[in-house]
Amino acid sequence: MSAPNIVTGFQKKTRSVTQIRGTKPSFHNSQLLVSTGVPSLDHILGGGIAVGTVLLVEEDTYGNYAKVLLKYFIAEGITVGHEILVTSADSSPEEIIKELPGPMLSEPEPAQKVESHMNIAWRYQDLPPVKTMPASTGFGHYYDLTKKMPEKLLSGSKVTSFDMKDLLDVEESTSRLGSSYRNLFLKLHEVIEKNGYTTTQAKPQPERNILRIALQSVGSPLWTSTKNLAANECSGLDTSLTTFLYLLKALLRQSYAVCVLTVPTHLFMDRALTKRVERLCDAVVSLEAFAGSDKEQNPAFREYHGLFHVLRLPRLNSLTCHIPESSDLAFKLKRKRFTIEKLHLPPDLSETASRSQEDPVSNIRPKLSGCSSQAGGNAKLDF
Amino acid sequence: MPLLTDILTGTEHTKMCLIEDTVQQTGTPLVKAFITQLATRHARVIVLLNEDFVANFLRGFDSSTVDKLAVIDDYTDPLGWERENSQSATEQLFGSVHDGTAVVICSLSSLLFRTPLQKVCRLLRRIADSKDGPLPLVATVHRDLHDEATLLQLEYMASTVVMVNSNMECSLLHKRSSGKVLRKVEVLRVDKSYAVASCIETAMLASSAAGPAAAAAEPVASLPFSIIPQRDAEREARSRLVLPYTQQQRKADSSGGQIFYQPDDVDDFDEEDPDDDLNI
Repeated sequence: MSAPNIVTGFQKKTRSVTQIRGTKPSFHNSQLLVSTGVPSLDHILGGGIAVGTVLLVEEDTYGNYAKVLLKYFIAEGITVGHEILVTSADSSPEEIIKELPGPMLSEPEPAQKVESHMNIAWRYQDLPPVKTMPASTGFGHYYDLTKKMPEKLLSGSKVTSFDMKDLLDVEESTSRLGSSYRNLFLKLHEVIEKNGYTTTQAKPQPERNILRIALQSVGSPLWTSTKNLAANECSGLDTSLTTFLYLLKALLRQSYAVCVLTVPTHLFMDRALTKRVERLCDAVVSLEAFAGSDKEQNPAFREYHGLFHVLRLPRLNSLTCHIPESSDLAFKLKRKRFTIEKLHLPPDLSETASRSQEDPVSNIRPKLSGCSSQAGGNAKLDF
Repeated sequence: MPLLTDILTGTEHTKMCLIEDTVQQTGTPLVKAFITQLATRHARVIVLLNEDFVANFLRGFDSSTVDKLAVIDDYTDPLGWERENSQSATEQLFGSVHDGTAVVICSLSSLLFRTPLQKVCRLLRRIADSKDGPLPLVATVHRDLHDEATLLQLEYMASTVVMVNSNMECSLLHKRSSGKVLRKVEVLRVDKSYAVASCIETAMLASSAAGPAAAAAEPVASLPFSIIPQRDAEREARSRLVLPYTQQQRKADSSGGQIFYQPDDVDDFDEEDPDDDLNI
């Protein structure tokens, strides 16, 4: 009896989702996602940044961690082979590119046989060791800040960088945008059109790529237009930055591009401007570093370098946005990893541990020795 | 070495140093100390002066320092009412910078009265970015003349901020290029020829005392017994202890789940089902 060799007419339906390197479709909706270069940030954003959106990073007071995030973003693009566009007014973009961290591409030390005999947890003796590196799927890499980006990766990728100071107020314009923003926008538009990143210019599949735009310190004192100052002071708000963001979002929605910009919002005196800027970007995160503030001394924050706030997540072609597990996040920057995790309070070894419901920030008060009742709301419990 | 002397002597590299003073305590001794130090390291020091007559300003400096100074007078005629067709002060400034010069602006407050903040920021950036590389820049500003927004933006542009308080107590904020931020409070004394006489660091800016950390260690330390003995003999005895069920687990590895029950002599182990006599 011959084994039935049925030829069926069944054919697996091929996925018509675009396969561009360094991207993956989201699990929640089928948006095309791009990694930010920091896997924990990708996780919080719901997988990554959607292609065609803007991620706003509100800088910490001294701007260091925002710069590091931007470097990770650019480094991820180079590792994966995307095209990069960098610009900055405060520092030279060439410097940013020179200081990019190198990717940790090789596997860590191979799973060595656990020689030590486990005494207490002997049931776990034979389990395989836990893998901490993400599988090399081409999405989400770890970067080593002590290593520089290898030259061959840098030269193999297409990086355009221009220093904003050449575009700042070259000629005084009368449009709503100050000329610095206008020039930047025109430049972005030109790059997108010329290199074929608009969604209407259908490139064949293998050639499709993503353009990563990294803008550093937009809205810093160097960007504000000097012409419209008198008019703006009367009306209240400088509209150049908000108009620029509106146009940028519209431009990105029709292109295979992603934009990450860092804005020093701590310099904006008017909270309304900050709120408008946040409203106009798709995803907004804010960094609050402990360095230099009095929170540095707080023992609850000892292990972390700062607080991480997710202020806004986009709702793209769906009814709801991705909701992260927790909104109490903190970040720490180690040499090989930038982690964003839930803020874990250290165990409270003081006497009021089981009773007090207050958060540890207000728990720092001088302890009274002896049997006298303690200051605060515990008087009723003490004899 | 105190941080301020490091910055003055150039051991700590800083791109732009902003000195903020008030009417109670002027930062002029500090600026002049800066100029003296910069004159030793650079071929020329260009001073944009808009607060005092040039002759008054130069009084008190060493002759060796004065030789290296190029003072641009922005005080007598800042808006160019009397001079005709000659360059403005800032144009003169850019005309005379080249490699090996340092720039001191004394002070930014007067500049801020007549030009908007954004133009001043761009001026500072232009100085920092001259084609031969970044020039060391020192600028003074009077804290009580400007609002918070202006000061915040100027501090954002600077890599070192020195706030001069009464009795020459200087609060320093230094941002290194590696990203580390240092904050110190130091008292500076300057002698007659504007060389640094002494610089003493006072207590670091600390808001809360070392209370919480010490208090956390206290409960454990004040107990009559010790929680963490761990002497060697005890550790050895622990390691020699054979945990229950290890032998049986190794034997019965393949099967799904087994219950190993070894009854003690006090256990009442009855094979019968105790619920048998329930009349349900």
